[in-house]
Amino acid sequence: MSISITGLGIVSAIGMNLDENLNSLQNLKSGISNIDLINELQENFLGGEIKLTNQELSLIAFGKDQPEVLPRSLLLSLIAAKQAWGENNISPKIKTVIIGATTVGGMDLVEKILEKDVRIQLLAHNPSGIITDYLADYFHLDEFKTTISTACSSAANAIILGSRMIKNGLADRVLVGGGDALTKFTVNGFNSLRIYDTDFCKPFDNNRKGLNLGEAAAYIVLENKKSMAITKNKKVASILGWGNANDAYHQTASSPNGEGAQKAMQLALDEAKLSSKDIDYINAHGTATPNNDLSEGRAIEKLFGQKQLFSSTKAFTGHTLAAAGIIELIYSILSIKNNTIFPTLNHNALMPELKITPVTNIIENITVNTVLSNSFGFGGNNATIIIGK
Amino acid sequence: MAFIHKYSTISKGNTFNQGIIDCCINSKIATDITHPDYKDVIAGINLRRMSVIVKMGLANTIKCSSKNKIDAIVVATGLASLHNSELFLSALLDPRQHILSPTPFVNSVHNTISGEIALHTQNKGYNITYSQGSLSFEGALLDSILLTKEGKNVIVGGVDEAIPPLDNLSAKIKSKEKLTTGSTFFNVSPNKNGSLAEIVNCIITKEKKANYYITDNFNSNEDVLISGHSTCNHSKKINTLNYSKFSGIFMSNPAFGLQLAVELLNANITELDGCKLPSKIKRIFIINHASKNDIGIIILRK
Repeated sequence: MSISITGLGIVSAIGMNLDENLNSLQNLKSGISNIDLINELQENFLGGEIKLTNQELSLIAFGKDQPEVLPRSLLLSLIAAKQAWGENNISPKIKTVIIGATTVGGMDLVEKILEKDVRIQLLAHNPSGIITDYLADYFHLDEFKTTISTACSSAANAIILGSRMIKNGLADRVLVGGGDALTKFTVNGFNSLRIYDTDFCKPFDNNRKGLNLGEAAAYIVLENKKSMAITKNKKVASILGWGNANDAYHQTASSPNGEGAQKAMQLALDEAKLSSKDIDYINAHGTATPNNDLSEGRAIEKLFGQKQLFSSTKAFTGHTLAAAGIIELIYSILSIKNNTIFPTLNHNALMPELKITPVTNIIENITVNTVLSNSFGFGGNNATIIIGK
Repeated sequence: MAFIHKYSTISKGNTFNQGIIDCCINSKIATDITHPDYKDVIAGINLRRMSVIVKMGLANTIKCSSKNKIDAIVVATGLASLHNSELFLSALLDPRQHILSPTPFVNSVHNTISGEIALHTQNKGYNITYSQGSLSFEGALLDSILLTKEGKNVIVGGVDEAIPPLDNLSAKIKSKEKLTTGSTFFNVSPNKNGSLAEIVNCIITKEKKANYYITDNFNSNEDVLISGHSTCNHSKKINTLNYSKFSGIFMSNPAFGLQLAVELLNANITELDGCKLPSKIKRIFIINHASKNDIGIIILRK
């Protein structure tokens, strides 16, 4: 069963479409800056903020003024999903489902309502499903819809579900993705855990202090052969394998040896019928928290050996939570398409615990056929996806 | 094929120990959630810092666990821990609070429930959380059907909690009733032997398509329809049981409806709550109307 990726859409702090994102990656242009669109954050925070107001995003999404007040995550998701969906049409011959991913949902509106002290009407905007509900109606997708919320691995798990639905004949075409805006809730939340770096985040660096959050949304279209015969869409890349495993170690932290990460990566290799030697590049989760990078680094070293090429693109975009799994999958596709490995920015000092070294300078003119992308989250959640040409 | 082997509900009345029908037939429906004594189920050392929603999910999981290894934990929750969301929001918006405790933040994350279940049962398998408003459970159940196709032994359940001032949200999901707290979990596996029921289908679709589907497939001589809403469109023509009347309203309560259906398939009763039942029930349709424009349909047979 082949699962083809035929449409891509992405908005992040380094660009409002695929070309802009590629351009920033190639020119090593990070999108991390002072967060200034969220009112009354009690401290200054660095983050991957998209420098457009909700009104400006709304104008991009709808092409005109939109009176309805919509959550920022929804606006970002709609812009990305429209790019991915492109000229696709609904057809009774193609069973099309939509799968979303978010952690914050409409939390930004909840916060605004609370600030005005109208109290708890709030939580009506909180359900994670509101984004998928809106997109399903917008694109007239009425077969099946759901939203996955597994913290920072949400979008990766959404792609895994979409792939499994196609593999098992429950869907022909899947619009799948995720989006998370920056909110007070998440910025303060990660800060309360003392894993928010006050400086630019430094993935896989010995002096890493923590993450910078970011905001982004991305969607892709997955199709089987039957669907592609009707849509005539062209394959951009293929989903080859996936794995989901739990660390069962700690509520928020990863196990020191990355047991769950190893298991997720091994499951993905097994599903793809590949061995570790077949992976040309790993786009790591690499959040720049002391815990994640050590755990993930050890897991990569154990499974793939000391020479494995890997990097984290989090220093370009910030950690975009539920969207991370899909924006990094799209960056992995850009690596394959452009024969390029994008580097880990802000890296100065090797971690003494690891024998592996992240890619810290851009590598061009390198053949990249197969990429493994990791997304790990709270609750011990580990998700891995392997893509190929 | 997906077969249900065990179930467990924490709801109004002593459903945890007696099941749903026993609590309904005896008409002793409590007005509020009846928590079991969690100390009897969960090791005390773990209980102290656990939020209510995690306790419910974990106690139900433990009760549904089989001798066979559990390969996957699938949780549906519409709103996750509202108690913790509200705590953290209030603290961060309070200008007097300069240092925030991370505990309510961590506990408010949707997949804290599935994650804590994995942690406390030391389950390192597939782990996932679905949150699609009132259709959260149908997503989780569809994944469970897929997992059984992949040969996996699954724990799947729904859990939501109410916090006092939620009347506006109740209005949003078309209900004048107060939201309640509740949780139902199942053990679902590909193994038919000793099973209580088989999940035939799980669908989410628009109302019009759902109506066609039910008209085409439902046979009132041998099938039973149970619905989450008393004003269900189909109830005009078809004798309908309303599961929300017993569970109260919460986003993942189709899981409660599913347990009621499993119990009905295995009980020898001819009537429940004024609804006459066929002498031998062939299939039960569980219809969920709680979402604005979409219908969830779960079909079950013995």
